[in-house]
Amino acid sequence: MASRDPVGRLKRSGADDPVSDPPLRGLIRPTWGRIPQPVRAADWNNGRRNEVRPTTGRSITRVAVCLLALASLAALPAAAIPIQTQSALTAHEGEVIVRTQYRMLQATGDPTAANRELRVRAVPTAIVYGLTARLNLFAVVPYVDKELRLNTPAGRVTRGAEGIGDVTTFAKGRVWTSDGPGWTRRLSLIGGVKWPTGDFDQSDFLGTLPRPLQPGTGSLDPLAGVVFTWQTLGWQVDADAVYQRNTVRDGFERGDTLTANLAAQLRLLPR
Amino acid sequence: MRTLVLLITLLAAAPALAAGAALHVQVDGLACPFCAYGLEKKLKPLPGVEGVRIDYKEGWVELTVEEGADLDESAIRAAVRAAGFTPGAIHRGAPGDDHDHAGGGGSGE
Repeated sequence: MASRDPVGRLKRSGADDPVSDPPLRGLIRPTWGRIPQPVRAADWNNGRRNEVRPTTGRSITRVAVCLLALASLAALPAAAIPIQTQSALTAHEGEVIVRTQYRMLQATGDPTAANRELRVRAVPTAIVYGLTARLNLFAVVPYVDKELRLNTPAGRVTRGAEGIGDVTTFAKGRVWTSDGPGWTRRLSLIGGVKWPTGDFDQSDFLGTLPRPLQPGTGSLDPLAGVVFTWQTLGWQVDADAVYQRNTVRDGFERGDTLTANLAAQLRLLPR
Repeated sequence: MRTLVLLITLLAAAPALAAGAALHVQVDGLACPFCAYGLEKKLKPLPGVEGVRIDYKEGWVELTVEEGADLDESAIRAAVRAAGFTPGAIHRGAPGDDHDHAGGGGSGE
């Protein structure tokens, strides 16, 4: 059962607490193929918060948020963009691009008695400005709606929150270009910050929502990465690696993330 | 009869004269149709440019220049760079007529 700590936060009374337990432990396998592990929120000890670092960050909610954030970073000039991967291509000088996506993640099949079901819907909108043809500025504003259904001793309940998530701003600079007739190879560097603009202390009738269900993280997190793109008239390959340093907020740290992606595209039309 | 032939010849030639001269620009790095649109947006506003035709498969841009206009080569190169591409040879006439352009080897920055 959930109870309240002296400052009004949700207190965990045991590992089997169906309310504050990680919502999707063991439901699905993350994209990098490792078994999800419990995400431990802040432990409470007589009102004193003990900082707990999730060792590997295996909550699928967190995975979803990471996916959403990174996917939304991939706002590019009007060319076919990879679904998940960044691209080294940049917008033209003076060009403004607004791109939005609708993404939904649903996870069911929880084998435990809690029978948890998670649904995350998000609409990240990316605004891109071509300061020069080599340097672009990005702002990514996500709107998220998270919902968790689970069985509790009081019956089946629905918990969740929606709202503007954490805004990410970053710059992408093209540092190397090799062009030929009908092909280009480019390398770009990325650097920016994810701002704590989303709510991270929303509550419902059961108390403060678990961190993975909050629209925002509350932390100011710098990120940096490198992207390579090889584009021809018939196909395109993109590869990226982005590191995000996730800082502490209220004794909770999500753990840093390093994401590496490789994407290949084949153009069908027009050839 | 001779006057009539001369008149027809002049009338037939008129559109070609009005269309102005063609300038061909080699552009490296053009690898998608949408990229071509971005390049067109940069080239069209140049003073003296009447029309832009892009062959992205061959990497050539044909600029139709207004009659009497003196299009600055450096402005064309700057526009191509601002679009994110690499300008190559610029010359009048059909692509391939000029033999002093970089031609297909690719160019790096």
